Amino acid sequence: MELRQHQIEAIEALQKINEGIIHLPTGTGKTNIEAVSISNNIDNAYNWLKDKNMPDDVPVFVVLAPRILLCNQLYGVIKNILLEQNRDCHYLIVHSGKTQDNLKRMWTAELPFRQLKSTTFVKEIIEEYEKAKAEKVPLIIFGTYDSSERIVNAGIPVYMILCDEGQYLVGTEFNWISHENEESGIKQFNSHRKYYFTATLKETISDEGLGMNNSNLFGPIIYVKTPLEMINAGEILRPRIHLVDIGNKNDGISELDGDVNAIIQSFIEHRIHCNIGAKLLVVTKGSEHLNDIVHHPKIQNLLEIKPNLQIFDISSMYHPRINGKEVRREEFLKRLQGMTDVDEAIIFHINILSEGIDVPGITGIMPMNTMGLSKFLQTLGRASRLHVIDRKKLYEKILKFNELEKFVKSYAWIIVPIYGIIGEDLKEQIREWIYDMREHGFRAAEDVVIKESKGRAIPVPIGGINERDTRARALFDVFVEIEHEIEEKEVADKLAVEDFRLDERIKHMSDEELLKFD
Amino acid sequence: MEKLVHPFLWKCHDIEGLLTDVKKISTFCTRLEQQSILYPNRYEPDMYKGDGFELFGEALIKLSPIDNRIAIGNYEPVIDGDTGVDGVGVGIDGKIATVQFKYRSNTAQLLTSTADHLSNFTSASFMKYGVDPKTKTNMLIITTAEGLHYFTDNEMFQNQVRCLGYNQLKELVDNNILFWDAFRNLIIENKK
Repeated sequence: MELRQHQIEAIEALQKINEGIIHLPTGTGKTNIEAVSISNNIDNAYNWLKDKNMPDDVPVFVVLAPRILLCNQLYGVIKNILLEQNRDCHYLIVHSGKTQDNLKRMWTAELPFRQLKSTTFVKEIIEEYEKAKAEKVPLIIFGTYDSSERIVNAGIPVYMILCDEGQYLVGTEFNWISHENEESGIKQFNSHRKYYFTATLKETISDEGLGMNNSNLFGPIIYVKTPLEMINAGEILRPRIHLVDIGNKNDGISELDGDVNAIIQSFIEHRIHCNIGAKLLVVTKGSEHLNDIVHHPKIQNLLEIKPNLQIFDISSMYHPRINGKEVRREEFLKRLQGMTDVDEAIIFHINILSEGIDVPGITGIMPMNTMGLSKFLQTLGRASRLHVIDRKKLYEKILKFNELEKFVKSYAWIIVPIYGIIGEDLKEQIREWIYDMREHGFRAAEDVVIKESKGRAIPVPIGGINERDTRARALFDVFVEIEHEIEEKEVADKLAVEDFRLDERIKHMSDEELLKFD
Repeated sequence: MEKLVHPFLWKCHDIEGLLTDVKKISTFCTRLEQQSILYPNRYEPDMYKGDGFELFGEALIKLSPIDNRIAIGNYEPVIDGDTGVDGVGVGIDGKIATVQFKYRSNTAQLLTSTADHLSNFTSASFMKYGVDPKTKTNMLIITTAEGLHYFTDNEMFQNQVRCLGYNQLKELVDNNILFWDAFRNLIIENKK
């Protein structure tokens, strides 16, 4: 595995400090950074144990994530990288799901097969630690935040904790992982090194609150790259909004029928933009909504008429399903990640797939409910991953990041159905999205597309749309107006901050300095 | 050529050593037992024996396509999940057939539904894999134990589950050089 420049920098920065935050956009290879950091620190960890007079112990590294599916994915990727680096380790899964390891590889005397255990029993965690000790190899534990207390209760000395989606530790439920929770009396999850990986820094107004801006709790930000920096470095795709004009077709039908119509029309229009099979991630309003959509006759009918289309759905209430058939989580993820360029898919979820799940083929997202900044950016991250061919060409410098017309997958599409006129709710939602995507270099005039009411079939940037297409122009005006509002607010905020700083400076000036200042 | 897909093929401590010069099921079991305790911290011994026996079973089924005593075609091991069904194929009547393996060190033991958790096998066969509820042929247990306890066989399973016990396995493979050579060849081919 060849590391990218930003990954090398992040690993170096992490090495210099024992606790802190790595803030990188989704799809920029945080898992690789985690894996290499573990590998780089195995020898240090043995020295640390010697210094603590525990020479017979073995180092323990803990990787935590908010969800079982993500936890399993991290296990697969990190284990593969450690094996590539000839690191023989014992692995343990601590969460309530079952993880199976059927990795087909030639095990050797240096890197022998080691059975994987999934458990939430403290006794078994200790037993696995004893096995690692007997084998004299490091123990790598993958767990969910929900089950992490079991690891603490096992009382084993942990050298390093890597918290994926570290923003989950903001709030009272899991904050004991990063620091002592005096109110609940829960002991902190102690380790020599502790790092929080996030794409969406969760901050509080006060620097002394529970947010990630409180360096007493999370340590400093030790490495950061903005989405725009990563887009310009050719690491992720820039976002584009595709407005799908549903018009008044949904008048007089049920909300569910309307939603299904919107999904189907959006998928059909979205396909036009894709050089590969469209794979649309639809964020539904809840489990029942998801279930009703998946079982809707029109969705079932789609499956019959399009043989290369697959319908995936996953929620906490129902088992994961592919084309309506229940499958195990591992199978679901494997099939999702194994889709080819020819395959087309509509993937329904509420939030399970939002974070960390790596499905490079997802071409667009379609949020059907309102979502906060963090969830929106995480969801967008599913579509902003580069296509494998584009990534290879970009890394080999055959392709430049701005030669979008040559990309297999050019944009991370956000599909927005518009019913009739743009209401205040949608306006507010669009305002939030544009604001959130400013860091991605999003410009409304070029990055919002819509199909003209009459004429051209291909959705085009609404900035360049026919003057006579009044409906499209009206939509364009809404976007531009929103963008101007945001820009004005940003300027006003900047001025307010400068005023505040100036006032503070003046307050601390001597009379002499004040005279000079005037 | 048939392919073996059971992951034990890759996980086994020493797959060549397991089969070198083996001509009998008893030798195979002894080797499996010996290997299972070599690295108990890497591979739990009971799991090792069970997985090794499942690989043997996969080879036996795939290498005996027209033997009425086995009568399972298009066999594939079930690798994911723990439902009690270890493999699925097509039975003698062309309908879905399921297989479960039970490795037991005591070859005189009789398997019972409760102690050996066999009921999961039948329920998963019907509910999950769609085995015909009236079948008398399409659920097969292959075991190194003697066979099924009569109560389990007659009363609980209503004679709907076939069982190949240790003595039947001996009849099938002991001194059957063609089988053991074919098994070894499959392993060599699959590991290429």
